[in-house]
Amino acid sequence: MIHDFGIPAFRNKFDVVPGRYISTWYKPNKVGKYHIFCDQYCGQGHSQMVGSVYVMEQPDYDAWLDGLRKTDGRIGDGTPAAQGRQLFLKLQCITCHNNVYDSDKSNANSSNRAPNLEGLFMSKVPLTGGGTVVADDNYIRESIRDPMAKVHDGWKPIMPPYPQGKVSAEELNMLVAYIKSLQPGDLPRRTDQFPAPVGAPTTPTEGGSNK
Amino acid sequence: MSAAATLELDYTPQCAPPVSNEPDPTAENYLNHSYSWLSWLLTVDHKRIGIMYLVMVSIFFVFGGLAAGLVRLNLLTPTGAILELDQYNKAFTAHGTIMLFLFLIPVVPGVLGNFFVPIMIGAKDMAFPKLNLASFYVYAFGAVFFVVALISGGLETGWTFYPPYSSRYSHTNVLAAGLGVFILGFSSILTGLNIIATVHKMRCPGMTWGRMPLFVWAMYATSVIQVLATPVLAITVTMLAVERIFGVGIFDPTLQGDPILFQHMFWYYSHPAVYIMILPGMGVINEVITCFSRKNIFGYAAVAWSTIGIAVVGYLVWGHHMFPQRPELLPRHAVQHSHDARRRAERGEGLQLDGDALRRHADVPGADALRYRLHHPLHHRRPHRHLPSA
Repeated sequence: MIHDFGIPAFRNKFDVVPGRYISTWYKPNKVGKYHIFCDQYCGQGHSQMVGSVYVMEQPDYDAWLDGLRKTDGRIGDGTPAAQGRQLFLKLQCITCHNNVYDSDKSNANSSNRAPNLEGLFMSKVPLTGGGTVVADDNYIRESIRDPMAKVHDGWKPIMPPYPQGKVSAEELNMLVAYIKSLQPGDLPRRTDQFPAPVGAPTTPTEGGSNK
Repeated sequence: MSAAATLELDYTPQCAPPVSNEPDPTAENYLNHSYSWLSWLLTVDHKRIGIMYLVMVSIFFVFGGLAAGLVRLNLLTPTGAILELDQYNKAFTAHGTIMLFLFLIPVVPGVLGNFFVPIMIGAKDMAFPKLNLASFYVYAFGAVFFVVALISGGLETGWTFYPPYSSRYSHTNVLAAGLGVFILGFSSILTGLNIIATVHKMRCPGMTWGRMPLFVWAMYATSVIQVLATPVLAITVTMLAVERIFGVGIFDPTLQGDPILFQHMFWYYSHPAVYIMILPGMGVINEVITCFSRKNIFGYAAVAWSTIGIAVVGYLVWGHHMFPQRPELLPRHAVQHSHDARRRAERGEGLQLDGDALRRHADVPGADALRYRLHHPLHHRRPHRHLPSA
């Protein structure tokens, strides 16, 4: 179904076309709360596809960011990256993409079965068969959906694909957000036990209708 | 004087019928013509066919208006006063499809075009009277599919039929409505063909291209659009049906299709179709304003060529329906420039009439038409919402 990400106050409106990834930008110059609408008629729930965008002064934004960010450096609860981290563990990505054997952070990938993902985002990845690719959003998505498409040079093509049935579109975005957030030292240890994050919803209400 | 007798000239108009005071008992006219139902349903008279179109499009206009009335009534309360969510979607889709395909596109060519074009160019009838009647019945046949689709469960895709909604996810009667669109297209093409042939071949002696009434110019330009653009719509709905029935991937991204392709093809028809709707209206206004201003139009040639210019440039500007699909920078500028060119052509026509009537004492009906005329160019002077402020 074609949807549309529209913020009328910002004169910003772009269709969200299935099968494509589209990025957009806007530069608001006035603090406030503005509507987000789905601007392309998409069926019965169309009128319920609404949201808000908050424009803040930098100090307010920093305060909000600090409120979410834990003091131990962990990413904030409730963010896509935090949910992606839970998925990363649940889907056992950590089994291969880990740094558990590496005591030396400068040589993180020495003894694993898969590339370390820390600091991967926007780095240049050498490919099997020559050439390089910049590890942007699209590359990360493709590597999850179809890992054999562009294999990191030096690694065996052993990763199973994660099609729509295993990882939904939303879950894929969460995983990508998590991988993008990874800086050296951020990957959890494989044996870590993680308590449920504080304030996490106990029922899946996100994104549902208000009925 | 014998010399004067040899110079005596025949001043009888060459194209006038022979003058006779005796009524011709064999001639059929409006007094002795049959009034039976069958005489109407089988008529090939352009005026009667025009009136039949008038009755049909008026019926659909009422139903389209009722559907819009349902939509407005439902908006009485924020949660929806009378309709369920899907009923609401079906109501505005019914309004859109009926008004577009069953009213707006046939109304002026079918009613006023059939009625007035032969009269205005001095022809006895259209070039192909039987084809004219056929176009009416093809219209009625196509309308049947629409009525069936709308009665038996309705249609919820909006009048634009965007896939993948229409090709994969909609559970309503997309196929019946698509078949209706396909058939209605043939009616539109036949009417257009008929008007083109009539204007080319049936003008009376002395009715040159430069003397044709501007309404005829508008109908001519409209007909060219109808003949050239409508097949694209037929192809598009055929592809949509093939995808929906056989699962062949054309527009559906899960079948490796491209949903944007549909929008390109759809608007390649539907933008010119905007001019199928507005050009005849402009033609009517051209006649009404000049008539009630009691003057010949100022800049006749400019208006006539603007009409043709709109029809031609109208084919190049469909991209402005697709700003939210983000064409890249260069195509976007090309779209913008083509849009400007079309707007200039339209404004050329508008300014002629504005100045024309403002400088004269237009009485009341003319002033009404003027209000319409002033309103229309203003609509195009708004800044474009979707352009990024880069």
